[in-house]
Amino acid sequence: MPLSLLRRLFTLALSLIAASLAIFLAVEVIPGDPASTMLGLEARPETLAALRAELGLDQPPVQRYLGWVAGMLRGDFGISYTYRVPVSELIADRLAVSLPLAGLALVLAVALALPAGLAAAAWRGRLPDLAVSGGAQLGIAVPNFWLAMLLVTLFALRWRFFPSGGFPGWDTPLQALRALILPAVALALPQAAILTRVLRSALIDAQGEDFIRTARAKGLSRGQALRHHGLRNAALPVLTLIGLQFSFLLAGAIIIEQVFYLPGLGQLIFKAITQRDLITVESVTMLLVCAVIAVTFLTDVAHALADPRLRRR
Amino acid sequence: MKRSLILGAALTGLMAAAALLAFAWVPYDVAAVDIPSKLQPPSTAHLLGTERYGRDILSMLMLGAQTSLAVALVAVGIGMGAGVPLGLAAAATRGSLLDEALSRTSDLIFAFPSLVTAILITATFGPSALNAILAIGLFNVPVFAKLTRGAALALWQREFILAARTFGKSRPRISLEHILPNLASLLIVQGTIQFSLGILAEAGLSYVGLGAQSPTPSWGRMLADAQTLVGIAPHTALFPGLAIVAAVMGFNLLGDGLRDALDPRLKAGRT
Amino acid sequence: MDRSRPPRPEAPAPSAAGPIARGAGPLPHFFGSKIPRGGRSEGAAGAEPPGGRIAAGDPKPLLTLDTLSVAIEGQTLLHGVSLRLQPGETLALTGESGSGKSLTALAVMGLLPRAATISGTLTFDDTDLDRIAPRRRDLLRGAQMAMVFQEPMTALNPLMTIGAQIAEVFSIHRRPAPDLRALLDRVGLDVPPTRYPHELSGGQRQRVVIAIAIALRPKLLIADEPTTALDVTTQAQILSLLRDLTREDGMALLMITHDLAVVAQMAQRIAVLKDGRLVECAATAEVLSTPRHPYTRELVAASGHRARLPTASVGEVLLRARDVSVAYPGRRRHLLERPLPFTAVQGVSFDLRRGERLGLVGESGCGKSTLTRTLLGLEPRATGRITLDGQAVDPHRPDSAVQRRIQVVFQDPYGSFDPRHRVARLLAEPYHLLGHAPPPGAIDRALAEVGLSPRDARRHIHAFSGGQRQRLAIARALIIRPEVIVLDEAVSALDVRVRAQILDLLAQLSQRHRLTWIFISHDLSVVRQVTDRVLVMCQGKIVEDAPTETLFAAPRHPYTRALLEAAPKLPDNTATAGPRRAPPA
Repeated sequence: MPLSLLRRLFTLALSLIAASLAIFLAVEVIPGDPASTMLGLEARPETLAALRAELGLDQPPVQRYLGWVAGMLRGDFGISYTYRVPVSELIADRLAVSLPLAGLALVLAVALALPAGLAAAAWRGRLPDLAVSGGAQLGIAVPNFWLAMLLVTLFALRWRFFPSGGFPGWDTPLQALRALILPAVALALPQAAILTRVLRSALIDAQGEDFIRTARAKGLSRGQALRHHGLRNAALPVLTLIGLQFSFLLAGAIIIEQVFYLPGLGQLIFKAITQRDLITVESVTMLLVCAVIAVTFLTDVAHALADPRLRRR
Repeated sequence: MKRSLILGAALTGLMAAAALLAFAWVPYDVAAVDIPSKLQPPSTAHLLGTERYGRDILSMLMLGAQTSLAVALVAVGIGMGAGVPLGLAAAATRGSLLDEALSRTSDLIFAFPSLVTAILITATFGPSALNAILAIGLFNVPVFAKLTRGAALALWQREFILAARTFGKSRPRISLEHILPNLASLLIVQGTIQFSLGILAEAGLSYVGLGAQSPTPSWGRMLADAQTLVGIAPHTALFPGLAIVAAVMGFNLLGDGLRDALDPRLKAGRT
Repeated sequence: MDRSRPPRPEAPAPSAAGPIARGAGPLPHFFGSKIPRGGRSEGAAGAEPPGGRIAAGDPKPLLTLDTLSVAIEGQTLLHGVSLRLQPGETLALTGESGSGKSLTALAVMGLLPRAATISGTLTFDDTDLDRIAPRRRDLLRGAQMAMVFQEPMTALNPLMTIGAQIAEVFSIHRRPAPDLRALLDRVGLDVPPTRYPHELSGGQRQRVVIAIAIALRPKLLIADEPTTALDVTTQAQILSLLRDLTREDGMALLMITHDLAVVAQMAQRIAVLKDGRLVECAATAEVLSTPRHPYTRELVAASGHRARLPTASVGEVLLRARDVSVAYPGRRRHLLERPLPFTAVQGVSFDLRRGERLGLVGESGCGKSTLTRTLLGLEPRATGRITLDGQAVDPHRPDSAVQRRIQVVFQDPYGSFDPRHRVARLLAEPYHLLGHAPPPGAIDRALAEVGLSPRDARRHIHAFSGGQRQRLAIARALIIRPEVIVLDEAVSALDVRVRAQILDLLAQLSQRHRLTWIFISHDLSVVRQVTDRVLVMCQGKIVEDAPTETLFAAPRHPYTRALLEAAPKLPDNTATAGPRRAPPA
């Protein structure tokens, strides 16, 4: 195995350890006694004691931490205090909504951003560029939950094209998909705006590169040079951003899921936080952090594969 | 482009003016509930209509601007105040323990989904505008630290810094005398961008009930209140949303405009 | 491409060519009113062709520029330039930076930025280039006309193998796939086509760019400062490659360069541009020996200029370096491999005596800059011993007592001043070493000494030209009267006339203050003018240490000989005694 990959894997492992420590400290140690946090101030001593025993709080924090990590490595994320079911089951249920939602939103965002960014870069400073840039400027400024409210008002309440909320489950795939369309659009538009801007400026930067001039000196037209040489070089920063957006969409749907009453990962963690279900909070946060770190790792590797200059490092 | 600078300055100026004016005067007292005149559409009496308790939406938006601006301002202040010195120090001592630790910590913080973490913080320490500020500010620290470090490292390679070293100036002194002033425009631009992100984040946290608490008016909570009424009184959702869009766009345009306005002078010194 | 052009008379119907190509005979009258020195310039070129090969061939030019003007955002950068290039001819386009050389080349290639508007006529091979469809214009490039650029490090797509980038020129013109090996051999490149650009040196990359350019045997090759970014030995190889290729293929070469010595080797004719206007165009030998236009005279004189350095009065040893080495930790490529340290400077020893002017010569990457930083006490990895007047220079801990005695002038006139500060503050910076503010009048005197005015003290650095900035840098280095000045490529970034002025200034100052300096440069002709003794550095080591004239007359080390041989030289009859009182830069 090349040294570079080993080094990256090592960093990956270190980041995961650091992240788990940070989460454990933030949730279980810094706020004080987790049991009283979970049950509130009026809890009776017996219930507190029972919960402490259930959570193993009589053990020292180091042991609890190691136990938590070992459990996660085995796929055991603990038992949710509120739902009384294994957290892993909860996560699996919720991912069935969140993953397709994030995927759909990302596909939409890329499908919108790619032609828009290309058009803006190709007609830089002219009408297509002004329209795209203005639209992107607006898209970035719109809070996605407000956009969601507007979409519901128009497409669900007024025209009744889509349901205004809720999720029927994947037993009826078409209905399920219909339920995800509006939330996906609300999530996708601001992301598409960000992606468009990054793609546009990456393409414009690439167009200014000397090798584009070399390509044009070979006989390539402006468009050919942009597609054959510019796009490939602009793809790297865009790829990184898409990776980050995916992990953001997984968790960033919290508010959108609230608007549409979707039983996704975001709703799970939001409820867990407000209901002080610390076991669930810890494990879901860790999962989300893992997703970010894994996606970062994958985009790193993709970079190295796409860019020969990075392969040797 | 000059246009974005003018438009951005106009939008942010309008918002700041509304917030300042609200200290002295608002059209209606928003503490008083006036159920009979609830959910009125825009009229000459209530320019932007009233919400579900009959309070004047314009007045609430003006007061909400105070909240948004204050949260974003302090959050950016925290980010710059901690991030810039850290970044300068890391760049000045490149490869040192401090530098390594800063880079690693920044990467770690970036790995946390910001919204989840902000919710976690506000939920743990109690929902309030102050905790929202802290949660948003926390994520601004590594943003400014990384930006400062990167740009400062590039400056440290420049000949005028090498020259300053041959004049016997110490690294902290060079950092303050030469590096920081040359980063100023970059930091101002990033500051406006983080400012707009802060406004968005505050609106989101308030929307889920973890930002400013009643009776402090806030745009996000106005939207949350409007959610169930959006079918019958769309204006209650429309105007707070437009306020957010205008404010965020204003700061983004200001940032873009400043970048273009400040860049040529930097380039003139650089090329 | 966006073009707004003034209306012009229609070309005669049957002829596809532009107005100039009408009729077969030379048309000296056509240019008479437009070009200075009409008798000798463009129009006459057809009548008395300078190169022997051309006289025998077709008098019809391959490329004709007729009153070509280019404006970008309302600013006219090229003013009515008219030129002709015969098939197989090499024409050099020369002038200082900003004179419009590259713009002319890009206009011919059709690669001007979109914001540019052009007027005038461009005729290539009987085709009016403005009248053909954009797609045909695109396909002329690469097939009929090709270009080599200045910066080989960025001219190739970093994500594609060199083979793929060469092959692309064939596929875009729908030609059968080439024999890449043969093409690479033709440009003298002995690496497999599967390599990526970053795996090649600058000279090798330039060979790849040349391979792309000549792949389809175009009739016209444009080379825009093709060797300016390269070391002198590599430059010689690339120039000879270009000469061979143009001869073999009968290609016309439009060579853009600021360096008249390069022109002398390459071109049959020279066209001189100044501020976007053509001031002179004639046979190379003629321009160099008897330049007509005052500007050309200045340019030629400055190219062959030699500063008059006062004879040295050498005293005791001032700076002593003994066994100085600098090694950087290497990068580990494999888990089991031991990283090899990279030694930038290896066991360097030399003495610098008071009043002596020492040169340090070498190609890029030879360790010159690292050695400079070491002498200034800014290289913490350095080992060995450096003493200044017996006092040890500690590389690990900069010592203001040492630093005040040794000051430096850097290469980049744009980068060595903080753009945020005014000149008065910039010049006062070295006083930090003395712990007090400059005494009254010190700034004014320092400015006057380098030919600037006291009024300049209140301006920001971006208000000054490159030459003025280098004057300021010298003023700053001298202001606290150090005992040694290090001049690190101090004139390399300057245009030739300004360079001559700065070298004269140094000679004057040396006369006035009995300066001691180390002059670091890659340019032998410059080092020869302003030093008494030269160290030649190669791969971190000093390979030769000799008095300047001895070194140039009888180099001992093979590397020194290679350097001297590779350096382009002006012919002996060059008009070096030009106008000598050029105003300060």
